[in-house]
Amino acid sequence: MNLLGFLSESVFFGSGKAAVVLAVAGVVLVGFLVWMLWAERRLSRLERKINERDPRS
Amino acid sequence: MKGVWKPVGPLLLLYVAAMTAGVPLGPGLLECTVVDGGAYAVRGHGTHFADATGTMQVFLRSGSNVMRAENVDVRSESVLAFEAPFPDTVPARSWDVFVLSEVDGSLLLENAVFLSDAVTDSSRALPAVDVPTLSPPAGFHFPFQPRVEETIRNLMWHVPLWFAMFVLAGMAFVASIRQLGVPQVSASDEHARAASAIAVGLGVAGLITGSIWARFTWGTWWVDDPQLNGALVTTAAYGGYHILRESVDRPAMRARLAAVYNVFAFVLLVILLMIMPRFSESLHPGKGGNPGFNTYDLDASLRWVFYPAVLGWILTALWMQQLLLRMARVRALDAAKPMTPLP
Repeated sequence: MNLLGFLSESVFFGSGKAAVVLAVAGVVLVGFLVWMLWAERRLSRLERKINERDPRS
Repeated sequence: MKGVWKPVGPLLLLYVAAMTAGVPLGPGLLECTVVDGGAYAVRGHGTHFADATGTMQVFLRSGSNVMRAENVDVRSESVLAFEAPFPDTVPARSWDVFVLSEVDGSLLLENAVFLSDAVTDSSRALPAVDVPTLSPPAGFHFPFQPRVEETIRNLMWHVPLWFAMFVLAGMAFVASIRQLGVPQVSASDEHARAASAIAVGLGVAGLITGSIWARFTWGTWWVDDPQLNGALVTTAAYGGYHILRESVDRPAMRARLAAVYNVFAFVLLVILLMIMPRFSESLHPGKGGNPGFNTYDLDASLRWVFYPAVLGWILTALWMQQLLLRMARVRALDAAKPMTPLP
């Protein structure tokens, strides 16, 4: 069995670690969404700064 | 009020994640094996055999021939043994097994029993048996599909990712057409670039989720299938769009070349993902005569999660595209007139 097959079948499911996989996937998803919110706020600040500097931009 | 729609996509995705992980799978039958003394044992998933002890009924079916199993013995919530009184001559070798339970409803395992050494006579008809009809089990759960089993949850991620990819690719196509209508670099060029970048990301995520799904349902990470190969080629084509952009220095030439390429990339997407797979055999649902989930598999419980997932991914992808556009605009303005860094 290759490494990926071993990990997915023998480790995650075999030892009841599927919940860990779900948790990691959830953390990745939430982390990505937090990053988007952070980018949104930072961009808004930059745009505001640009508009204050040059209102026509 | 302008940006109130933005959190809707991620909120929908959080709902989808919670439902994907939390909704149980409905009961179903996994396998039927021969046990001692010619008896058979069926193994269920999510079943409650022990809760229905004494009322369990098992039938075997081959074509129009139906036979009642005998000595049904519940061994656990998920294991049930029975004896099948096959006659010396049977109408067929392959038999489906029905398990009828007042708790789990009617459960079917197709081709569960194969009588390799039996004498067959296709004209042989077994006496008619009255099979009761049971209502499906109550409660909110995802439908049990043979072989797909628990991986049905991936439907909420894999398919909506491609839906969102198509939407973004379509937006990039429209923006490229607009760019081709003007001689100078317009805002449409940046719109097409941002939409294509998100489309590539969604395509890669779609390929990864599809490959993992294939491993657990088809037994391999990848098969030589028109739908799968088409998806890979299309995603690679959109990746090539960005390589092309980086390889041209003159902005006007870059915008025009990229727009022409993007139009062809979208045509390629339509041909390889929507047209070609329908004209050839395919393992992929919805292609080559292989029924899609919307025909009979996408039941009410899946719709409650699937449609929000589609909307959630599309809205999130649109937000991502907007972020890229705004980043590019801020970067361009900063390049023209540098700002002091933010704290």
